[in-house]
Amino acid sequence: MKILEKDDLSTSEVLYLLDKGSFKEVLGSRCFRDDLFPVKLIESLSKFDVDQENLDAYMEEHSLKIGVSRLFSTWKLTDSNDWFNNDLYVEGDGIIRYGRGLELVTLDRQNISLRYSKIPSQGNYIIHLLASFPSNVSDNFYLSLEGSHYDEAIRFSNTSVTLVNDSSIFNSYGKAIKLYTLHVNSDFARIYTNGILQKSKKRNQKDQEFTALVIRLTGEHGPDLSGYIHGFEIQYVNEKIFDIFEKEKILFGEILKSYINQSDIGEVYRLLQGIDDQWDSNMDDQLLSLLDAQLSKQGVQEWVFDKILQYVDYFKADSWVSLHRDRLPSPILSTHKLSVEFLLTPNKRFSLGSILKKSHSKRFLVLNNLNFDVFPGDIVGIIGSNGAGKSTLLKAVAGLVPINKGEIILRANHLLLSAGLGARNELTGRENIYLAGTFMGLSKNKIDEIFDEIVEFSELGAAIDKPFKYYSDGMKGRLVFSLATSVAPEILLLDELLSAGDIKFQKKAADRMKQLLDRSGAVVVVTHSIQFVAQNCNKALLISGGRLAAYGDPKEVISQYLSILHLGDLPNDSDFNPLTIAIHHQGSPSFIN
Amino acid sequence: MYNFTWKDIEKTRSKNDFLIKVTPSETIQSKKSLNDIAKHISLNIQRIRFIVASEAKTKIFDKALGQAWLLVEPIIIAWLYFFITTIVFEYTGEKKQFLFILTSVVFWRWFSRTIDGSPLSIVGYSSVLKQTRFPVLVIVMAFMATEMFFFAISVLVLIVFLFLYGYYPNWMYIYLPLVLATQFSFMLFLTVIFSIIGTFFKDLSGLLYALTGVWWYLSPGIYPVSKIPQDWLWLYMLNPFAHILPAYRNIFIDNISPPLLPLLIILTVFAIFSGLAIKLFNKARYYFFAFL
Repeated sequence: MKILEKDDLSTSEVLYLLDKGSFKEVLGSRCFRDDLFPVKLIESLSKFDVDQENLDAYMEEHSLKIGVSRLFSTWKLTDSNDWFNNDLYVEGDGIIRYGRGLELVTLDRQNISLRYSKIPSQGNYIIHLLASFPSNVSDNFYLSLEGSHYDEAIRFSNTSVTLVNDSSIFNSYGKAIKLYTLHVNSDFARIYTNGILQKSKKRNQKDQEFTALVIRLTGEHGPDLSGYIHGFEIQYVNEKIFDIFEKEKILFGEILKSYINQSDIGEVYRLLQGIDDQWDSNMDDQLLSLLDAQLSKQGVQEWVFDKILQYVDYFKADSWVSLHRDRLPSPILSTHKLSVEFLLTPNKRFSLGSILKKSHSKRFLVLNNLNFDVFPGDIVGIIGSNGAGKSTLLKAVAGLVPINKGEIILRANHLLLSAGLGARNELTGRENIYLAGTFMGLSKNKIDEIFDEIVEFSELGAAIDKPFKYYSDGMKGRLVFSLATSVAPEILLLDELLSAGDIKFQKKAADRMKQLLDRSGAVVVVTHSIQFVAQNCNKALLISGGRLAAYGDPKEVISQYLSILHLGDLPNDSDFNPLTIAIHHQGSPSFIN
Repeated sequence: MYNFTWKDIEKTRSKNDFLIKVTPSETIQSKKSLNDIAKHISLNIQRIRFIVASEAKTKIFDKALGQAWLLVEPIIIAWLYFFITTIVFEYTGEKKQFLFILTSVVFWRWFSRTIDGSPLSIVGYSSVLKQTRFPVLVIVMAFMATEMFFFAISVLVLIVFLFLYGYYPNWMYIYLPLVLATQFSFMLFLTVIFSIIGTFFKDLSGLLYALTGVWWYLSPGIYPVSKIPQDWLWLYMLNPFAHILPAYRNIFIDNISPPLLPLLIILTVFAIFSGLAIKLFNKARYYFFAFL
């Protein structure tokens, strides 16, 4: 985002600057909408490095205004050793560095948390946390109100913030110092950053008793993690209160408007997805015209349509749908209630032993009731642990695996790409190109057409007429990669991203892979690289135990994946750990970084 | 709140609007135009050609004699039978005994090699079949074509030996396509059936090897049909090779036309059976995956 005039800021520019922690710049600008933003809070935050008391004074004034009592606060204390008393104590084997604030650090699988145990069991809680994450915190920093059965927690990463019980996330620049506020009562849980409402979700479990407030950093195998707490405050009131910052809903409307004006449908969706209530902002027509524009784009994020049409006025939505019914794109690949079963031991199915015993072979469900659609232009990432059924899903879609229930409909030709397709040692590189091309379903003419290009890209030169047997592994890899990426099917199915060659070739390969993604009508890729999914995919599927655990916006799906990872739900020694994946990627460098 | 979901829109679309539909019982391809079918067939022929060529190359790879190896095996076989019939047993009556046996052996080996290899013909390409929707029947056909290619070379060797003994190509050769077609239809049926069963029962290939060995001696390969006792002849003649092997000898050695009726019956019956076997194959194809 470019800022044109330093002293002439739009709403979105203010948001951008606040996200980056540039409080002073915001306050100094001429057109800053001090009627909308919580100016006093921003002023206190801008002075925090020199005058902590100022924030304390703000909190005092603010709590009086909204009628809450301050149970605990650290703002007045200049040494974090003084924070601790009988109510607040440290748990875990991680490290704490004391100072003006404190830093939580974990090495490997250490854990460290601050626990405040003296909170009333029911009512209205407001937790302010002034924090920053200048170094790696992975997705492992939590601010959580713990109950006996149910927690309400925020998860922080270096780039985003999530309400754990709801997968929708919002981007947040973790390096900057920010005041995060969690407001929980029996009706809703809300998150604010710097006094600006980000999320408001209805709570499923209304009569919960909270027992403690915990700030926790969960270590993981591999990198050292750390997060800074500059201070925090716990506020409480028995009766229910609603808006804690003035004009927070009007500001929400303004922010929505600014995203609409920028045609940033992703942010619009994230904003609407973040709130469960329907705050009328009179922007139905603008929202629908955003959808109009969306129709002419490549790829379809169905959930964006679903969300916006649910958000706007019923009759407007209805007429929009009937008006555009014919223009709505049709999926080129869809699965409907797809289930796949495998025999536990297919090799014993017809063995003498099992026939004599008349025993029925054991079966297990590999995929269970999967629904998803792929539209022209989509790049779909499938993530999940090893053995979750990702590859089976891809093979079922390719028509290779018999399915037990449901159906798969393909409206375009597809190709499942994998390395080393039927290559033979005895044949020359040239002959192998023709043979493997044949297996890929290409005609001789088609292979003739792409032949020179494949040879050139693979850098094999005269070696192309040498038998495959005498190729080095690198040469084999390059040839196979070049062949596999030389065609662009209407639906490209990829099981793990292909990689080959030295660093120089990998760079080339990454570019070619991008081209392939661009040329293909639609791409479905099974991968362990969360980064790839976040950066390249427009939709993602999380498969867990054969079920569709999440489907939709890649960032949300990844967030759910991380929730499952950190909150249990899976056996401890499962492969569901992105860190082992990260290590795997360091060990055998994939070409996508 | 307008309860729109994208799936609802989908339901209103035409049910027949698809290219491939996978259901628990089968994979349905949308109906193709004649032009598409023709293209498809020519593509498959191309595929078979590539596979045959690569199999042949694989066989001669790295061998000093190179292509000559393709000839060596049939020549060795011919010499072996020459040695047995003319030197060891010193047949005096019929000097054509050697040709009698060589003719049978060449055509029988086409059969036995194909049948012995058929149970593993699909399994050998499992890596390809697990990764692509490559038509499995094409693999079976390519396997048959490969065997046919090696067989054709043996026939050349046979013709050379016939020539050396003074038997030249003659008009009776016009019956050859009929006999070949008869044997082919019989083999097609068995190959398709065995390739299906062999994918599920891995024991079949060992079993078949023993079976074709016995079958050889139950067929008139090294002896004429006239040696069979009259009482058992009706049973003996149920073996298609009791008609097929003598038919080849009629053409190559006796230079007379073979009895046509039994051949036509066998051809018709197994052409129909083969059609049914291929239908069964297309259904079974779907369940191969777990066993590959």
